[in-house]
Amino acid sequence: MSFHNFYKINLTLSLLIASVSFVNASNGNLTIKGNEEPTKKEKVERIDPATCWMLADAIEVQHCGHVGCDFELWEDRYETCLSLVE
Amino acid sequence: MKKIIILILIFRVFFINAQNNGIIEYKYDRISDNSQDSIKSLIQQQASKFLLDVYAYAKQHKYILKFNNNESLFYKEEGLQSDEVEDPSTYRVSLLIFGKGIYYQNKLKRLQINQKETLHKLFRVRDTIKSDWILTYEKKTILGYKCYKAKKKCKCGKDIIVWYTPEIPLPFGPAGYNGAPGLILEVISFKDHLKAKKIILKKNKIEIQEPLEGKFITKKKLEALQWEYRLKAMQRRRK
Repeated sequence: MSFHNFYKINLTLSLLIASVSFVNASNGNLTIKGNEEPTKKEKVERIDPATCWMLADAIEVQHCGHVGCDFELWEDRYETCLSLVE
Repeated sequence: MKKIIILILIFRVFFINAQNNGIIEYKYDRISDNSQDSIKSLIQQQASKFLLDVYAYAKQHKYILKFNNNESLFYKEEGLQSDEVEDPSTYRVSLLIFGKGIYYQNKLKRLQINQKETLHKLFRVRDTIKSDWILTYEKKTILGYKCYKAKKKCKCGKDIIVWYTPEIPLPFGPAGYNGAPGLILEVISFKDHLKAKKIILKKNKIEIQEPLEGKFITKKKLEALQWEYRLKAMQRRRK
């Protein structure tokens, strides 16, 4: 199996897992104090750190069609996400 | 006969020295996405929403190609002042659309250099100007210039389409696209669309400076380093 195919399968599985962890996070693993609207940063902080990789992949695939088509876009999203959750 | 015409066009682009100096301003657009939102996972929906904001910012930038008879330089002029930007993180990503950094092209050396920061380093990514387009007879006019369609497949198998004008016989184009038998005035890559909105030809030579900073690396070598980084990120995710 080529690395590209392996990566694709991995991405599909990861998106499924990420969706589940997203739902869990949204369903009260983290509560928001008061009645204030969550800020963009708070929304990102509710994502599990492992989700950064998958979120960056999802953005890249939607933007240009496949994993690896725009590394700099992926890199920016991955590192920005990591800096917010670590 | 077809082959002879193509050879003449390529010969004209690389070996005839008419005076050509100018500045082209392109505008970005995104071809609308009609995919079914209902089948998207939550994370994909987040990605779509984020990208819509990115594209809205990207449409406000100016994409500039300066050229003289032997060289060209492609860069972006930001559409907003820093105090006008509501979401700096999204705005930063909008500047990555149609390539990061600046692109320098040299006709005589058949060389392209993309100066950009990636993997926490500044690089000058070398590549050659290749004439590997499939030329067609399909034509249209852009800003008064007769243009022909050319296409090629990217590594992923998708078509990249450009419209070039033999009226400006230079092998340059925006965002790293090059090697057509005339200046590229329009690019369609996946759903991204870049089209010339203004062409200003100059009588005097436009001076173009080759990027001088950054570590030299070939495109192939950089791609290998980037895949390595990606793989490490994937392994980190599993721990």
